[in-house]
Amino acid sequence: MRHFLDRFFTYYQNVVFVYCCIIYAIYSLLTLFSYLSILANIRKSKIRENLLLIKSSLTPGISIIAAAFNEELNILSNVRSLLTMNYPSFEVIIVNDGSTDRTLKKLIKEFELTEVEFAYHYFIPCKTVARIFKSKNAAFSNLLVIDKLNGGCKADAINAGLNAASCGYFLNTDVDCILDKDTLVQLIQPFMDDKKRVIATGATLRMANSCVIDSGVLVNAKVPRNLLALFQEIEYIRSFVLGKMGWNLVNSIPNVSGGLGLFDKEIVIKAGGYDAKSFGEDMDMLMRISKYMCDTKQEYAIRYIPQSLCWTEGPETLKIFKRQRLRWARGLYQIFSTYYKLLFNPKYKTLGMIVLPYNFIFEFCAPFIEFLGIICYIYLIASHLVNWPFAIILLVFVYSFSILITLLAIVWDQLIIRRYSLKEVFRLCLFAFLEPILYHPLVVIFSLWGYGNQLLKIKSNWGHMERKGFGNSTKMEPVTIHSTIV
Amino acid sequence: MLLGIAMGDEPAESAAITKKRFDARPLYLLGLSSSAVKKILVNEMFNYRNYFSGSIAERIRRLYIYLSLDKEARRRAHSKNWEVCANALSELFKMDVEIDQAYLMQLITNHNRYIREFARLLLMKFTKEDPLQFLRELNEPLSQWQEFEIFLLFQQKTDYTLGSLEGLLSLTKESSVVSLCLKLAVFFNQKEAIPLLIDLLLTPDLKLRAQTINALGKMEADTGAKHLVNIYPEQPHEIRLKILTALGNIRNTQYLAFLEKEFLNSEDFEIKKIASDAIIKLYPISSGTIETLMENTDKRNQKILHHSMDPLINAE
Repeated sequence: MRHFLDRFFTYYQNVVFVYCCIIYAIYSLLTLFSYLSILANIRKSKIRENLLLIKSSLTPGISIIAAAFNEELNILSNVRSLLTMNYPSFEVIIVNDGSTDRTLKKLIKEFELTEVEFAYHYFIPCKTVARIFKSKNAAFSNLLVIDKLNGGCKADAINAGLNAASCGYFLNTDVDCILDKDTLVQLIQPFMDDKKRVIATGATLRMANSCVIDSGVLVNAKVPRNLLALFQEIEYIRSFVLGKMGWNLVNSIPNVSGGLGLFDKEIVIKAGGYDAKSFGEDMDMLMRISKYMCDTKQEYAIRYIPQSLCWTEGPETLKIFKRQRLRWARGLYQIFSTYYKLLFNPKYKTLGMIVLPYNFIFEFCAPFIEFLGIICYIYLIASHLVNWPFAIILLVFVYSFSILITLLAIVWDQLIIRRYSLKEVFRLCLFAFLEPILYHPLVVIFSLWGYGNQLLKIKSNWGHMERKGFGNSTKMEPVTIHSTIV
Repeated sequence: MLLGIAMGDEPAESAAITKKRFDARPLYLLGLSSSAVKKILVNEMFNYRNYFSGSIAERIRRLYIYLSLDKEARRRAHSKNWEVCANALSELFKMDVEIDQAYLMQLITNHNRYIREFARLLLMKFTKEDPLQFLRELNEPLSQWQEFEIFLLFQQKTDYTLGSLEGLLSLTKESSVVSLCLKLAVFFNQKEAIPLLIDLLLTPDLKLRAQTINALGKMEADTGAKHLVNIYPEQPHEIRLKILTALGNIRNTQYLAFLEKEFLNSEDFEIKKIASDAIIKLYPISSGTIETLMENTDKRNQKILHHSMDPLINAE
């Protein structure tokens, strides 16, 4: 037995070594790719004037769809923020997903909503839509509020919004997100300017936790003071700026975040809409639309832009963080149990040969490999089989490499736009040194926990993100527009 | 400061630029010889030209020329570096400054996409007669962005002679150019292009067919309505929706019965909805039809009609 374990763990450490070499090579490539992608974006933004989209009468309409469940704290500031987007033609669809608090009441009062006889059709199945509201005030004529029975997940609510959307593109966002004024203008650009048919675009998300927000508008971006939120900020910068922008260069984006994504509505509906059973509906949607395009033999692209356009309130307590990560892990597990046939399938091109294999081996399997690696390490230490000088060098290298990647991601982020003061950037860099020690183990533990829950089919629901809100929001005096027919 | 220098105390309608016109000393004090300062200044000039029109925009343009910034841009437009060249062409385009046409004709076959696009835009901007001639020989699709830019050019320039679109429509094979022509035909309300649009209804390209139907609707082409109704039965679902929308825009009451038939007989929600919208658009002629439908049809149809009639739902 001892002999077997010795051989197994010795063999395993070689596997881990090869695995790490490959993943570090990929991260190095992604670092380079993301730099090139960001430079290309900066060059393009000098040549392409976004004002053109605002001035042009040809600019396509966009439906902003945001699901709300018990969001009375933030709902008004968020809706105000959405209604003041810098874009010529858009509608805002708020889906009240069976809230039990005063979300709907607040909306009705603030925006002078009245129930209308809306001919609603279930293009995509979802829970029953009870009522639909429009505003009596012409200032909010592009606001539509759908009141429906709770579907248990965001996907069901988004499908309900899609059924009522009248524009050819829709923005999927969360009600706890604060969007930049130019979000729509920035995200629609790749659809207008790419050689291939773009079916989805995304942008960088940031933590809003310590930001100064007034009436739904970001006034001052600040690095979170809460440690957990700060680590998430670092993780987001690395994931979006380095990861997604890197994959963007080779048209292999694995996921468009549910917090901010602009989609071609026709393709989403033809792909069947969002999966209400999925815990990771955002990644599942990307798989669906990519699969649909491959099945119908159409060339497509999914693009990311590096600008930070969305600020979201991240979990600040371990309890809420755990709930979120368990859900994400379950979602990832579901993706591979649903789409395993696409793995290494050349029919699905970059989806089957790059996106899914990378995510399976280096995202899904990573927590297992890491956990087993730790067990292996403990065993080897206990069996006095560790070459200590080499082990320490390797540990220092691994730690340094992960710090380097994170620091480079923070530097790349500063190339795009400098929202944070130098002091705050320094703070981010400092905590990057603690992230692998304090934060990363939590991510691994919750990932494995989530996989276990999914494997054992332990029931859980979406849960609810407890919000602190964005502070006192100034009550806006409603503007009543009287039209005079002469 | 920039506005003050540009406006000075001279009337905007004066002819040639003289040294007396602009007192640009404050700008030179800022360090106009520095390329960074020039860059910021040029960006500010773009912003002012975007936010102001008329004499202020023209004065800013003249100040740009007075400071010899156009000479710099023309020099950079000859750069081998595509980014420098494209930015320079973009700058000249935004500032309404001409550049040697012969050079631009070379650039429209450049390997770089952005250079080709800006060269084309500059050629079109400064060609008053038949500016679309530069699209005839196009053998690559126009990006939607370029379509927007060209369309905006036509929207803003009032002294263009578009010429007949028929010539371009009959010569070009490129569907993106045809798509642009359709939009321009609608914008300029070129009724003489309607027979050509009717011919285009037979195109195998579904997207182009949909755009043609859309254009016929927006131009309220009465002569096209008959053809739309004739081709309706063999069309796929998306095209049928476009036809119904176009019939609503054309507002020819001759087809009210057709719309009513589609509304009542079709099981498809989208067909019903668009037919209902089209019937409502024919109000007040269709008021009798609407009343009859409301009284005699089922709840689902009534709801669709209510939806089409509700000003709160249909407010833009």
